[in-house]
Amino acid sequence: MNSGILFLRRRWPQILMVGIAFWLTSTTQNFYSASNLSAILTRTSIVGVLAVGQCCVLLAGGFDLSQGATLGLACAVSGTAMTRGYHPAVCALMAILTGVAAGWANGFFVSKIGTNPFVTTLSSQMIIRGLTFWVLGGGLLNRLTGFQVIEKQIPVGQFPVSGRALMFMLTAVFAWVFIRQTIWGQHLRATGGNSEAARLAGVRTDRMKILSFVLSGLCASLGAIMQLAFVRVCKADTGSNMELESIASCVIGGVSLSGGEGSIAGAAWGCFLLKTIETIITIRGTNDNYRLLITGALILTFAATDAWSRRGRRN
Amino acid sequence: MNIEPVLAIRDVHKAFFGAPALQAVQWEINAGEIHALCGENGAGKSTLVEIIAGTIQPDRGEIVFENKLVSFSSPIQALASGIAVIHQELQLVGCLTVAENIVLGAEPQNRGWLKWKQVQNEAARSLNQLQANHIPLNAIADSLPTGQRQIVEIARALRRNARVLILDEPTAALTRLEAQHLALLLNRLKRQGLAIAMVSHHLDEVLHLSDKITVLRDGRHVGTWPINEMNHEKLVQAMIGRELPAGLTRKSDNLPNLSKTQPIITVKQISGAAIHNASFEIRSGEVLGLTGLSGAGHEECAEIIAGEAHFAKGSMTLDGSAYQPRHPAEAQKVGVVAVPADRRRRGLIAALGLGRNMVFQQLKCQNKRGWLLWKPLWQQAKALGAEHEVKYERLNQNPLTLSGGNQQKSLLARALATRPRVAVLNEPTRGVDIGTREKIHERISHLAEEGMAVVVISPDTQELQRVSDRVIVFRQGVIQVELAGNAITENRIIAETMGATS
Repeated sequence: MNSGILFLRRRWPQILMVGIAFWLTSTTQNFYSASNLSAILTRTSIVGVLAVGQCCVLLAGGFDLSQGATLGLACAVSGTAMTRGYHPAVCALMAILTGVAAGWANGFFVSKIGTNPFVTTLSSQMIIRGLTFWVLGGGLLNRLTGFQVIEKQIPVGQFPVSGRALMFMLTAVFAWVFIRQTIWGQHLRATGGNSEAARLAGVRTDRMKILSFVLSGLCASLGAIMQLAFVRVCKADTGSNMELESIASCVIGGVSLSGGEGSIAGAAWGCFLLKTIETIITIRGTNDNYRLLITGALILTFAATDAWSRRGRRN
Repeated sequence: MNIEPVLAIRDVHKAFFGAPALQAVQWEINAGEIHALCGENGAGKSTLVEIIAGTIQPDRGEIVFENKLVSFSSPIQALASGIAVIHQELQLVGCLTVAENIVLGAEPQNRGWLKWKQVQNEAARSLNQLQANHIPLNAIADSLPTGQRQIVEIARALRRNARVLILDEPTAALTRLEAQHLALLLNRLKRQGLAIAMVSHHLDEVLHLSDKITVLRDGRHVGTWPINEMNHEKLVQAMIGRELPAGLTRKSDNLPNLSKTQPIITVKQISGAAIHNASFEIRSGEVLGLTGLSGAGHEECAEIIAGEAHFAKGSMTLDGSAYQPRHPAEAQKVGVVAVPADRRRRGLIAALGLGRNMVFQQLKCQNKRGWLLWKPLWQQAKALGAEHEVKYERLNQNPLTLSGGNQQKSLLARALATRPRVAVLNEPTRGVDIGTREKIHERISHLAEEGMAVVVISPDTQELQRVSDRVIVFRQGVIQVELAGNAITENRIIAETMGATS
């Protein structure tokens, strides 16, 4: 069959999603303005960075439910450092170390001990959330202004883009290149695609699984830095449910939950679409109570189309 | 006794990817007899069984069951009609109890509510018929020994009123005692008028148990004989039944020239999960065949050499220094590369596409500090495809859409591109068409001539006779015999694998 047609058939769910978004935006007044698109990009940024990390884990055949909690803990640790007057760079480093440590722990259990990724990250989510309570001592941190630099609008050409959006785009591009162009990225995908075959071909699959979780933790800590820059407050429930949004973004972006298939670009794009649709719902003045309902229905529609387009593809 | 056969297969044809698996096959099974189906690996026995069971559909031909033309589209239909197939891999649900397994799929019920008392009663009655009351009804299926699980599966078939019982390698996983019990049971069922067919590699068992023997070879029906016209030699003759084609004989008929070849890997008295005290040498410039019945230890030996499995006792040396690979990556670092037999599950990585699969083991050399150089890699993939004559449409197509032969060629390409010193090839021609098989055999001989050490693990005696300089036959975990040169014949290998030294 013609490869172009094959490509279209495989991308049918994404095309549908773009179609919906396009139809909604074209019927919404004043949607296509640079400032509006830039605002959506900014809204995408935090969950978008998480989606990039989630995509790494999914590609390696795992699953990370602890992202939101890791983001919360990284916020708490770095926020505490900030209130004690440390330099913002030190605070950022502490956030990153927290994220990497959490990711490594997840990866260690999944690959070396052999626990199921779902169960492992579900329980580490609870443990990490518990640690966050402990670090915050039951209270909250506010006036955390250390990362304000990131909130600045930076003019790209004629359009002002927030530093947060820029950070998200840079992360996505960097991860995309990493997965496509490096040997580790290739081994990561092979591990998720067929772990046994990859091992027999000489891939250290256990190390690759740990790497994928470490990347996810790293992304969560970047998310934490952006979150602190954005709200300047850290609570015990900061970041909760964000992991679900990041998984939804990956699904919309065509990343397979069974590993190996998909791309970082897809995950980032999926997150952007998700946020676009949420924004439209808000702009159109639809009652905010329906926002979740509509988003959920859209994701399910998407997944059903995906399943339908896959039917009969194997064999 | 009925004159009409219960089940008759007439003129059945089946081809996979253009390679014929069955051609004009006839087979008749009568009530009240045990009929054995024999043949080498790849002769078409399992294809025939799967066609009868409804797992696959024949391209042509008819199946007549109890004087009616039938065509089953699934094993469920076949079972409902009265044909039960007991596979080598037993099809019990491991976490359910014996009674639940026996009634599974046809549970006594009242509008969806299970009648538990009747479940117990019917299961007990089924086991009783087989004089197997000793099997506890409420035991979890997985906790039973293989022999008892097999009886449970037969009980399930009989409860569904099976008139034809087909057993695929029924004794392969059984202990000697369990096999004797099974033989008694089958004889009893036969006297009750059941038609029993059995696929088996154990020739002694076939000769001992069956009333008729049908032999398949290369997908064709060779003949059917009543047991009193058959003996061991005649059966082996019928199964192999051909002279080696001219020009495809072994490259040298002399004993291997030991001065020309150098030992690379020396295996000393290793023991593992299935092998005990195995010692042998792998030498450069020759093809070493490892064979045996499934589970005899040759497969594990290959895994140990390639670093895929670990050994408990003994030692291995490579070029005189200790060789103990803990991971395939370590084996590959010193030039030992394996090609797995199960290409779909253990070989190809579908998500990566064909081209990336072919250069997958090259990634470690074709990069600059981890950054891949895709341009030379794609060129290399193209070159490998051409060199190994892999037929594909696009380099990024899913490799699992290729034919078995092309899948195998692309895996060979991947492994050989690393220029290994030792190549461990597991069943290099399993599920591969005849033409590709010839090419692969030629390549194996060529690699050895160039000085590589090639280890071929194969149950295919013809293949071993053609390509190997030495053959080591494993039996029940120990090395039965090491054959070299002219001593490598199909008859000898078969006799040694079965331990039936005549």
